[in-house]
Amino acid sequence: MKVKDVRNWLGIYFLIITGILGTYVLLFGETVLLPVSKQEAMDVFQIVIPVLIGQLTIIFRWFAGFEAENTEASINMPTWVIKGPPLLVVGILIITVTLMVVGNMFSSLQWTISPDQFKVIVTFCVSILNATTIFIIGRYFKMPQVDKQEN
Amino acid sequence: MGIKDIINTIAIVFFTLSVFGQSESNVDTSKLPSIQTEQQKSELLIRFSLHEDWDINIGYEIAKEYLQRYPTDDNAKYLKLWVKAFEEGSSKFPNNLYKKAEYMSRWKNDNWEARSNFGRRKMTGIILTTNVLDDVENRLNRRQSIDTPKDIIPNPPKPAYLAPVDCLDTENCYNANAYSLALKLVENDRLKEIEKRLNNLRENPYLFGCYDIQDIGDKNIELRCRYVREIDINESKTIDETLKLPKAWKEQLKDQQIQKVWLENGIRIDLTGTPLEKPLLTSRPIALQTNTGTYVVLEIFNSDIQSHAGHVTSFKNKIFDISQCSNKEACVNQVMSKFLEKIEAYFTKTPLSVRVLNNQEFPAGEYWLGKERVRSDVLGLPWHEISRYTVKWYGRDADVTLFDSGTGKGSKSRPYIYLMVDQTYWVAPNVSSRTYKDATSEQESRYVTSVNTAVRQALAEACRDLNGNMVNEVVDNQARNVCVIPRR
Repeated sequence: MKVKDVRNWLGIYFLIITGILGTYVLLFGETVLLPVSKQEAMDVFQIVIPVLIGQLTIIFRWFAGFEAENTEASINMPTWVIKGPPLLVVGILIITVTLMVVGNMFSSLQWTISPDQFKVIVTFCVSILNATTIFIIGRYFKMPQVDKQEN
Repeated sequence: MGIKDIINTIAIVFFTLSVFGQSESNVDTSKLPSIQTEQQKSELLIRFSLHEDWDINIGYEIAKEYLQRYPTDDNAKYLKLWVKAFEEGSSKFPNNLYKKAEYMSRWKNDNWEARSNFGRRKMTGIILTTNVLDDVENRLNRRQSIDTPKDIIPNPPKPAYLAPVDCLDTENCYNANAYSLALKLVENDRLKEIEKRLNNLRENPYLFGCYDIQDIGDKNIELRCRYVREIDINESKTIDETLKLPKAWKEQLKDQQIQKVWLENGIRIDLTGTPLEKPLLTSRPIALQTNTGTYVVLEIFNSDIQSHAGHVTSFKNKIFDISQCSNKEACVNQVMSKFLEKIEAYFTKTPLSVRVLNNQEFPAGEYWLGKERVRSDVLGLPWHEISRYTVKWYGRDADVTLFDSGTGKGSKSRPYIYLMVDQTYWVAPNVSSRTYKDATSEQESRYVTSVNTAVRQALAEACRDLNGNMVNEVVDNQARNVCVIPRR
């Protein structure tokens, strides 16, 4: 995987997940697709969106301001380190939402995910990203040091 | 007697006590203990008589205290009988407060002669002052007689009329204003302690302190629970849409802006602790916070004020006319059995999809249906509900009757049958939500429409099966369907 690919992949990932998750949580509270109260949906929004928006800001500031010098170089780490955590988070969220929606449809106290559990799982996902991908972002979207010049 | 007069009375009592305190060394005090004893006796007797038909568990505690202090007193004879009956009731129905209260009510009717001599001449001239915050905490900390569901969080009534919680079922409260509510400013050195206690109450949003009460109208035993809510007035558009304050408070508070109020509310429950009806209209204020200070509320009961007033009860929803039946009781039995059979059929169908609560015993004239934590077919997914429908029927002579003849609930000797369906629903968007909350007004109107449709269909079908005639009557410009049962 080249440096360019890492940046593109992470940029697209954070853009998509922020857009989809934010819209989903904001629009679908108290519907079949998100069986939690509007207040609980807003709580989830407040947990997850600041972190995601923070990453998007770093990524877009980098793309807006700098040209990479050697984007064709290969990265010196396995691909799973880049893609693993973000895909894991997507997987966890898909499973959680599916269980919550289907369990609630069948009124199954045993299977459905409660709103409280949903909040805990979303917090868990944010923690995974905080502990992993955010370091990768820091590395590949680092702003170059500008030397201070004395007047 | 207004609040001002009562405050004056308290002031006089305090003044008198302080005079006694100061002059203790100069005057002969040998007569004081007997005065105090008489006062305490009277207070205990009044407290007992207030709780004889209302929260008998507290009545028992008061009776025991009286017997411990004055075991040979005239009144001890009746109290001993009462305590014995209570203990018998408790051993017969150890986990059923409703049955125990019913047992005590029957016992009291059978022992009216012993009761008639109880407490004579001792219950006048007494003013009982209760600090509401202390009283609520005591109720909260007592052993709970019913384990209430922890996911039902009802709102207070809106607007809440500030009065004792069961005022509308207490003759001397509703009719005679024997109870008053006074505000007492909290001094700065006690402010933190009071705020901490109020915060503790807020931490417990659940139903607590369940008790029995005899319904003033139909004399049935009902079970009720209390719950505390902190109301932030700043969040309301106007204070009047949230609270109906006593007039004296407005005079006392003048230009102060009320910011928060802590209310103790009541709600009728079934034997499982699930609310059956909407919250009681009256809420007992516990404390009040304004922009200049915090007040605690004192509830004052004046034993001299007795109700001699009568009032009328008014019903509009007549459903059966059985005036042509020669044997009213047989006719009512037949008509109501058919009607309730149809009610069950239509209420168990979608969208209401509830079941008859056969595991519980209903009072006369009532029929309970409901469901718990299952999908709401009225609202559709994702909504789940806990609901209760209390179908009440009344045998009456007319739309409006004197209260003295009772509401006629379950009466089988009157020419007309009236219907009332109390409905409560708590909804949550997820079956395993931690709390089920009051339905919004839009959601509620959908339930009401479904219930009205089910009742109309049940009445039409029952009338057809009974060979009755469905006629339209117009009352107050509103049409109602009445099934006239032919001579039989």
